Amino acid sequence: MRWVLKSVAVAFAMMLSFAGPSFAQNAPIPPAISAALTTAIANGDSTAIAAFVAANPDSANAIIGAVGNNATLLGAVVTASAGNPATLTAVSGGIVATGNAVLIAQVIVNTSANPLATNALGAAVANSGNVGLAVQVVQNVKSSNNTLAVTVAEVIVTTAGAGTAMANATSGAANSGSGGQSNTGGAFTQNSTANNAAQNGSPSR
Amino acid sequence: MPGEGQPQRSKRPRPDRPPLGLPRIVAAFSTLCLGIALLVLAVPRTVAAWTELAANPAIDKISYNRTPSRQELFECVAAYERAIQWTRSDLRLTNLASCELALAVAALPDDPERATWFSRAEQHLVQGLIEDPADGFAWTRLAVVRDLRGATGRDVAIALVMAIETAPNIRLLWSSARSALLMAYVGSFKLDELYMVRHQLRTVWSYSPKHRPGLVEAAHRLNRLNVLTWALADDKEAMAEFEMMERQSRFP
Repeated sequence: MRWVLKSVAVAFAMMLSFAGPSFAQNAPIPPAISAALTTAIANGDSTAIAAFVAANPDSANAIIGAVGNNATLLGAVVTASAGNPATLTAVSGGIVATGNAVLIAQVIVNTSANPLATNALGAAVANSGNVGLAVQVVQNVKSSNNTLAVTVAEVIVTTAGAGTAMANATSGAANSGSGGQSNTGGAFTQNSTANNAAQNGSPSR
Repeated sequence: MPGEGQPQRSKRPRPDRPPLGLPRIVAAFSTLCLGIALLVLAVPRTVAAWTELAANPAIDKISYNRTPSRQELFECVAAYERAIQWTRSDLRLTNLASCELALAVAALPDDPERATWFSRAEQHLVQGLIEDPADGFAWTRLAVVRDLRGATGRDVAIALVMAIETAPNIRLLWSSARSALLMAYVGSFKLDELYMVRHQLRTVWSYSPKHRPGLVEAAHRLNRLNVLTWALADDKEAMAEFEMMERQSRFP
């Protein structure tokens, strides 16, 4: 009987560990930081908010949720957390957990100067498993910046896996209509490749 | 009598040969085996080396950034295929892939052989990398082949990550080709890989001024200026240099 209970406990622990950030970071805001967080949000202190997420990753969704629909401040929080992959992932997961496609897209556009932010937010969208949300995010980004929408779709394809429903839907959304521009197969022109491609990996290494 | 005045050669008794005993037979057999083993080991390598001589004209031209003729490329492929049958090596496989890549690039876009040559080049690069996974040149070429044949972004990114992990500081690989691919496929890297990409771009910019114009040109051509500025952002001197190049460049 004891080993059955142990097995169930281990299985439950494994389930928790594989459930992804949106499940694991659903804890409420710790009372100890509640007042300081409110002050940081009121002051627009993105560095402090990022630090709160770094110190309390389990509460990332609640902390980001407390920021509200302020895309500028959320973008600043994303940028402030870019030096730490774990914090960046937690912040991105919190933003995607809002389920607000317009807000997520706006944050992606606001942080487009930083590829780390684009990739973290795109990966969080893919990890949400919500195909509809992913398509809406890509469409909203596309309305501001075609190239960025293609990059976001590439991130989603990389995270979700090529050929998955999410990958196909977001690629379609990014490349539909005019202006969609994929980099796949297009990094080189024919002429430059003839020389560059063969010379890279020169046999006389 | 003729020869009568000559002194007679004294007939020395020849020492008796020792009997052909077992130790001598074993020694002789061992020597024979050693000789055969040396031949078995040496002959394939020698024949392979002679055979691949026919590939030299194409390989030399590729190495010096000149375009080999189709005939030279076909001879290169045939020579390496024969050489690999005698002795397989990572360099022969990756050189064979170079000639196949050049044939693919030389083919017209609607030529069905183009896809075949790309596929063969990729296959031989992968085989060469199995023999020597630390060949940064081959990883870079694999990324180029995958880019050209329209593979998924992740497949290209994986080869690029291996290229910068195995050969981050080989200046021949700091060409605009690898850096351009790093910028083009920025959406296909995972977070931890992106830090490596940034470090590589910054290293190329900082330590090789001759590659800076190529980086700026590639960033403009691929619409990836954000990636280059992100990589240089923490370095004020580099950003100042970049902004000066932007002001003086022909790009809009």
